[in-house]
Amino acid sequence: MNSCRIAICLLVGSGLVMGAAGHGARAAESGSKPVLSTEATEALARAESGVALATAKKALWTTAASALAQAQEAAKHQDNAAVMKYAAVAAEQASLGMAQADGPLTSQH
Amino acid sequence: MGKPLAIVTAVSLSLLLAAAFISPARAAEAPQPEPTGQELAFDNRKGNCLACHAMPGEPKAVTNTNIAPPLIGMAARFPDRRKLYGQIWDATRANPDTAMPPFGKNGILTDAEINKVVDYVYGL
Amino acid sequence: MKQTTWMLTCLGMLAFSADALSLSPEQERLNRVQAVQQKYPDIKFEDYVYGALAFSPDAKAQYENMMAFPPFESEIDKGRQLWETPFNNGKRYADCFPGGGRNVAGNYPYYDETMKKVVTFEMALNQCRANNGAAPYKQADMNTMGLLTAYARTLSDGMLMNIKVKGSGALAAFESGRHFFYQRRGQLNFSCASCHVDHVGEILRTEYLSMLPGQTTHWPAFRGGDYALFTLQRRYSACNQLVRAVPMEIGGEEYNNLEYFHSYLSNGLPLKSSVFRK
Ligand code: HEC
Ligand code: HEC
Repeated sequence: MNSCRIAICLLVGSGLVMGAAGHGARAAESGSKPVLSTEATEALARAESGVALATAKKALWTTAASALAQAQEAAKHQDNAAVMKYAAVAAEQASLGMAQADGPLTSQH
Repeated sequence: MGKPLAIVTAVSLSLLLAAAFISPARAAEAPQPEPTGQELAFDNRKGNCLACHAMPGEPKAVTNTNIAPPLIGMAARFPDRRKLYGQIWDATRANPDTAMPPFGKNGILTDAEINKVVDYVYGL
Repeated sequence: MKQTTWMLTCLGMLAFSADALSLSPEQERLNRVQAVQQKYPDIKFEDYVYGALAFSPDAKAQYENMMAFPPFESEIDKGRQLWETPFNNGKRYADCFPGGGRNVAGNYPYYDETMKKVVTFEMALNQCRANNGAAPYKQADMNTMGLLTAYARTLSDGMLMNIKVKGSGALAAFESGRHFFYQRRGQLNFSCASCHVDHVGEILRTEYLSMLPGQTTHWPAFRGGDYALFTLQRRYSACNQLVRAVPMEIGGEEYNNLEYFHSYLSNGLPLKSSVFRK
């Protein structure tokens, strides 16, 4: 149980750090290309931590995972609009998965 | 230490898989025309209504299913459009135990797509 | 912080009391069998092992034809070679199991009181390897563990599934598997039971839906035109992906507990490996 909690913290933490520092820094390094916006950076961090939480809860949907992958791919190309779009989907699908895991069981009549 | 590693591996694996899955789809995305209500209803990655509903009035609908009531005479049976829309948006509201996916609530179809499906289904 | 702890404790107690209300494993099994019998009185209990084929005489006849000379026999032979090749110390898999490995698979999974966890047949095979100085196989690897079980399980053909749930640890593992089976998951929002209990025997677009009792008796299966080998847990993974849920780890605790519950629900049915499935 404890190691699980640590795992979540690590993942959320690293997600935030990567989101906040990583993408921005990488973009800045590449010089001529535009830097990933603060909003996009934050949206990506939120999506990454949401997906990490849903994974730890064993409630991740493939749609959340693939939207996050799309957002991360878009971040590599500093495509702010695409990052925002896919990150929002990933965060939403991750939270829906977590809510579902707390929902009622079927077929109990 | 085993557990965090396992989780990280699981996440990265699923992401890798997802990435591999998505790239070709994205390449094909650009020139395609918007799908019609019928296409959305038939497509097994979208509405996939034919997995569970027959459409006795629709010759193009190929399915052997007997899971759910056939979609027929919809305009007469659903005079209130909101009710039909609501059934597709989240079928668990009418029946908590239903097998019908909550197309709107879970983001399987967008609101615009559901509206197209409703238009189409009204013609059945 | 204190408050959260309190809330969590309360939630835990709620969850516990809900669990306490759930049926005994045997009552659960009987209910599920009776429900199928009521819906399909013409299908004999023994025939539940045919799964979806039990609903379609044509498909079942084709299946019987194919099983007379299974096109995947050479794969089972590869498994036999794995099973028969001695370890470096000269011992064999057969030395790890009573009766040389005959009529054992129906006792798995079982709940191990000392390890406090469910032990599947695959885990027992890996334990045998470890005891004889061999590295464990990856349970998701169909070319090693998959092939090995494709032969090893045939040694238990005809044995009746015989899963036992005794004691609080075993019951908790059973309940966790039960929960997995009835919990909705994935974007499409199905539980396993949505398809294999609520709509058993009905047709999902083109496929009959198999009944829960009898689903665990015939693994691995060779599937489709290329006879791809699927262990039971690989099938779990496929059914999870079908509803757009990220699958759990093959050989991990979630699937092991699911297999424990799932196999108990097949109790009394004869084992038969390794078969063809669509
Ligand atoms: C996985 C199975 C499944 C799929 C896929 C599915 N449905 Fe359903 N649907 C059901 C079931 C089962 C019912 C019966 C009521 C209930 O249990 O909710 C139902 C009920 C309905 C009803 C009410 C029917 C009536 O006669 O009262 C409508 C309308 C409907 N579905 C439309 C659709 C449309 C449109 C689609 C495709 C976008 C669709 N369904 C996809 C299973 C499904
Ligand atoms: C959307 C419907 C659906 C859901 C949900 C679903 N399955 Fe299946 N499952 C199928 C179909 C279709 C098949 C192939 C036909 C058959 O054998 O039932 C199948 C086959 C199987 C088989 C193989 C049966 C055999 O004899 O070959 C097993 C075992 C199984 N499912 C277990 C599960 C488990 C466990 C879950 C939950 C994790 C699950 N399924 C969820 C549709 C579903």
